[in-house]
Amino acid sequence: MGLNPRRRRPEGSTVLTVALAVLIAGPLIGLPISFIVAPGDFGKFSNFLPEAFAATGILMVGVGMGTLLLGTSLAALVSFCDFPGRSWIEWVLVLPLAMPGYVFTLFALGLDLPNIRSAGGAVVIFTLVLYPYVYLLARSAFLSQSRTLMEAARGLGLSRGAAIVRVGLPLARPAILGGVALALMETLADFGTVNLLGVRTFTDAIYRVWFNAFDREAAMQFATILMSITLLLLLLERLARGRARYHYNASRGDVIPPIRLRGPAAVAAVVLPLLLVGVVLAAPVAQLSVWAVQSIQNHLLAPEFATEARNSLLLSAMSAVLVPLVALALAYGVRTSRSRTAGGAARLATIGYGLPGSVVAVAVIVPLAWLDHRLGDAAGALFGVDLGLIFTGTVIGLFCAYLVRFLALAWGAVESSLARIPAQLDEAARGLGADRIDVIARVHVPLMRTGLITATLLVFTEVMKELPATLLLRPLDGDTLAVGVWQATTESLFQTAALPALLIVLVGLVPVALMIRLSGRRGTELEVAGSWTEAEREAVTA
Amino acid sequence: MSTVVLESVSKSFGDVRAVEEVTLEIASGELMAVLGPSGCGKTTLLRLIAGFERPDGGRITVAGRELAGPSCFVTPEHRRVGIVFQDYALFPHLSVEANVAFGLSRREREERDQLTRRTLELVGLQHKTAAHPHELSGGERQRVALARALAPGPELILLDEPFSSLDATLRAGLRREVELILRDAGATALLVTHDQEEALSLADRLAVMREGSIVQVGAPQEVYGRPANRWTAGFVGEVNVLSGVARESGVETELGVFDVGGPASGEVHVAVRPEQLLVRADASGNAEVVAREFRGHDVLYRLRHEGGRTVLVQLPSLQLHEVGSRVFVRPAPDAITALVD
Amino acid sequence: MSRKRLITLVAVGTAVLVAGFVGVVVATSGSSAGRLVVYTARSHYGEEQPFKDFAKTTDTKLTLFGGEASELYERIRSEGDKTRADLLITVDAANLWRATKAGLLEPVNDPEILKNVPADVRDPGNNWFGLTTRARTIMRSTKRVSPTAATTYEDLGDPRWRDKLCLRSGTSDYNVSFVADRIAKDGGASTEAMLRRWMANDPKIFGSDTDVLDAIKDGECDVGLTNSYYLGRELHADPSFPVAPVWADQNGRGTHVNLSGLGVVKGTKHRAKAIKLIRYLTEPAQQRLFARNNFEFAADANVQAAKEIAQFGSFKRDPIDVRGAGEHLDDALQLMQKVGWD
Repeated sequence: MGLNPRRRRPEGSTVLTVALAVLIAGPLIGLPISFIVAPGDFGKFSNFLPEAFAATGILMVGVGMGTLLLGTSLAALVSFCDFPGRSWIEWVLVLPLAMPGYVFTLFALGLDLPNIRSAGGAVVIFTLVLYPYVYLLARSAFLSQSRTLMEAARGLGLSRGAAIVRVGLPLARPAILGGVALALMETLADFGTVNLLGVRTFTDAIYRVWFNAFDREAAMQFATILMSITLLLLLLERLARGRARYHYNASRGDVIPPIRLRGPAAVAAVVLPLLLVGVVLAAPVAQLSVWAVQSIQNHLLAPEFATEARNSLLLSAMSAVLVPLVALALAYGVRTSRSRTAGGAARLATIGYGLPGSVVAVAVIVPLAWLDHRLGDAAGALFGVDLGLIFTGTVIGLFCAYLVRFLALAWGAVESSLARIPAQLDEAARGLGADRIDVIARVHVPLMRTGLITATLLVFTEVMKELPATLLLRPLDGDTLAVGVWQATTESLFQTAALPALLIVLVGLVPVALMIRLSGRRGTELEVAGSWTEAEREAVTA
Repeated sequence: MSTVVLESVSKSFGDVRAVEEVTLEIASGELMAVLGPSGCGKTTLLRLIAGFERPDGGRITVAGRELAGPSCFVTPEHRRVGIVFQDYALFPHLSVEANVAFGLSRREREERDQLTRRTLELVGLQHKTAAHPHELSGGERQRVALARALAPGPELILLDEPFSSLDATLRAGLRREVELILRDAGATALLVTHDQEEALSLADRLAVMREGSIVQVGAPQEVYGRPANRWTAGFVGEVNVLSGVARESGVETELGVFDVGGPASGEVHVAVRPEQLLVRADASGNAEVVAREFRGHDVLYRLRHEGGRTVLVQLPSLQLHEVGSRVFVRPAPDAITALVD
Repeated sequence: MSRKRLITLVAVGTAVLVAGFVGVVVATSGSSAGRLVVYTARSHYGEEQPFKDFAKTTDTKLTLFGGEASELYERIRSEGDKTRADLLITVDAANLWRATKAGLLEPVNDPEILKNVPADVRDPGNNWFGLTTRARTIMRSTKRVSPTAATTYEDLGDPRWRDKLCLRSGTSDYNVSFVADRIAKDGGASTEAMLRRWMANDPKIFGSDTDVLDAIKDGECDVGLTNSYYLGRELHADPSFPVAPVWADQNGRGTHVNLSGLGVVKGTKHRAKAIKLIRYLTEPAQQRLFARNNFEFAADANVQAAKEIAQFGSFKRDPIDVRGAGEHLDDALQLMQKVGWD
């Protein structure tokens, strides 16, 4: 009876879901059209490609290796070893998630660290701020491994270390690769860090073709290539995971007994992670605080600071409501229609997450500008009123870009928590006299609470951090903290940049702290950490 | 008076006719089982009664109220039909008490508390009110599910394979417990299962279903003893189908003459249950023991008859025949067997 | 959650969302009615004074929208005749030329402005007017490099500066304009040869002119190429800052000079006010502010440079050829990519 009961007619919910999804994914699907519109432009800048490929390749390899090594070894350390303070060091290691790459870059540039403006510097910075993705996924994979498997390996004559290497690591491979894919996706999507460091990646090439050569079509063509790379990466990740989905759920109390570290090893196990987080988070925050105080004392604070802070909060808050709502609408559409078409369409709508904000911006601005002009002309001709620019001149355009870019984050969290509610619960509730609204209010909302909170917080912080799309689409009075940090940093005014940067980091710490707090509750630890990274992973594997 | 009346109810999914012209009546207070192999449409039938599916044709009436018919469809929440799901579908975010009270949200607070307490007492879980579903054992969960379905006082309780996710050792005990609870509550119940033992031991009457249609309805002993056809005979238990010729004295087969309890003529088939045969050791007997399955209270023998066919025989475990020994097999004296197609 | 609560929540939520949405749209886009909107590529840090004064004295609401010149240009282009921008200020001539060519600016034939701005720093068609000029020249460490060690741009390619040369990123508008100007005047081959010699010195690349000057101070390199006013800022903060300019090519065409200027955006609804602002900014009083506060050279030749820069004497300027530089911008970009100026 696993037959689709709605095969005969296209359900209204399918049509609506697909329509909504296509509306969101539309701008991105439209990117390749640039090849048709201006086929000659691509050749004009094709000499940018080798360098862009090379620089992007170096970054990918470097960051991939870096996060793989750092994230996996830290995860192995806290999962397989026991040392004083392990339980909180486990969570301290997650904190760097709150540090945006460009803020760390601002710190590094402000301190004038040697050789930082290079591909190597970029690799180091990305590795330091992105390793938590690998760390979190690897850790929860390690912790869910069953003790029996490790004991079986030891029974076959392997030492404890060898058992970890030959059984533990391979079992966690899909999770680790998933984490690396996330880190690479973030690297590909970055603009601030590579631009400040002068690394000529694909993102940078797109920016230069667009703003130094003013060839928007060529920029869209480059964006198409970058989008293809991202999609390829997603496909590879999916294949790697699909072929080997090892999920051994250890029942409680059946986890692998950790190796107790003593003496120098224990000291190192405490000091090294703390040192790492000190470098990635504590030191920049301290330095930014000093600069922030100086900027206030020396009246170097940007005069727009208050406006920027207000705008950042407003934009983040509105997006944090809007984007999860759209994700919710899509998720419900897919759930009600139960059709493959709707599910596929929803996934299509989430591809924006793997793309740089500037690509999303160029993809969004073209149709919106077109719409603006048609609408304006029509209003002028029919009613003689001047509407101005409704989409591109206001935050509406910005919301569109945020929606395209971050829908996947909210979708991952919302959809996975909705999918975890079996349809039988709905039916059980209906059988007990609950109508559709009751089912949502009394069953879905309480069960999706964690997912909804996660979605809201993720979108809030990501919008707070977002730079390239904001830079290109912000309305007249729409500067944000991220824009403020950026503009001051490009002029080496580090003190001016410090306070807004500090605020961005502190706001970013909120969801991380919340995740840690939620995880403190017994038994939910893995689930919360899981739903967090799962949201991001869902986002990229859409 | 019948509480539940199904008249020619049909439902297709695409080209698959899941439920075809099903007509069935369930009396008030009766425990009816629908028995059939997986894919026979029994779950669809249950979902049609619950209102999760809309029938293509026919009429469903519960307690005199038409729930589904040519021009009428009552949504699940307005049917006053309680459901116990296969894996219980308890609300994981609610305590036992809140789960049971879920369907009582529109009652006065006092009434709701009282009903909840009384129902929990009925299922014997008054000491677990504050627990959450994940803290309960399988059997306890099932009782919560039952209490939750019973609490609003439905006209009909539907149970979808309620014991299939329990350990075999737990099943028998719980079966009895559930039966007692249902009878205490005076509920009319429809149980869907693929387990013939469950259906036979629990139900007042059972309906055997195959490929969307109901093949036979009757009391357990009737369905077991006088199956409507060869398939039903095999589905509700082990059986030897023998061909023979109907005579005055009974049906004459290679194993002997069987009483079919009524008139018959010509070439027929009889369904002989393994316990309707007797065996004694006889070095020159008509069969040889091929295999023996010791089951404690009884033993199931697989014999090869001299005519070449395999015969199943079930005997008390008082006396054992060794594999390879020769025996003489014959009909039990008072056995009345059924004619089948 | 009860049903009632959900419905209330959804209703209140929708109301808040709609109200908030409208609020955010209004708060961040601002009605442009009666408001002068200036798209400016000039750094706005510490530069708002003349604009604030203008807003105050003329009782005008004025919005400065900052960004890279190229982003602003692209924005106006995309906004078309619906743009809210009334004025465009850029930090280099090429972007003004480009905007003129794309028909984004409208000519202003105002006698007072024409009187304030000399002919060599404004558009012949009066589409834009220079506000300040800035020299992009050689910077040397006063501790390690003699004033005569490098006197021409070509000299920066001398192997003696191997690992001792600091440059700003090749994406900087100043560098692109500089290269475009060289291509226009010396031809592509000669410019390429020069850049290749520079690159052979394996220059260290920085994100801003300030970083280049700091690198020279810290001994990371000995010579660099920056705009002169950045040095003015450093000297203002620390008079003993150990870097001095070398006015390049004094025996040739002269030191490369670019200009920061502004024009009225086509279709403005506040043309009169926009013209008033240009007039105001090109008046000697404001010109002095630019020179004094930002250490640039005023467009008004009669206004003295700030003492931090004036101390290095006057110099011969390579005449600004906006059209030539503008037409070679794409070539410059390609060339810099080709020679590997990151």
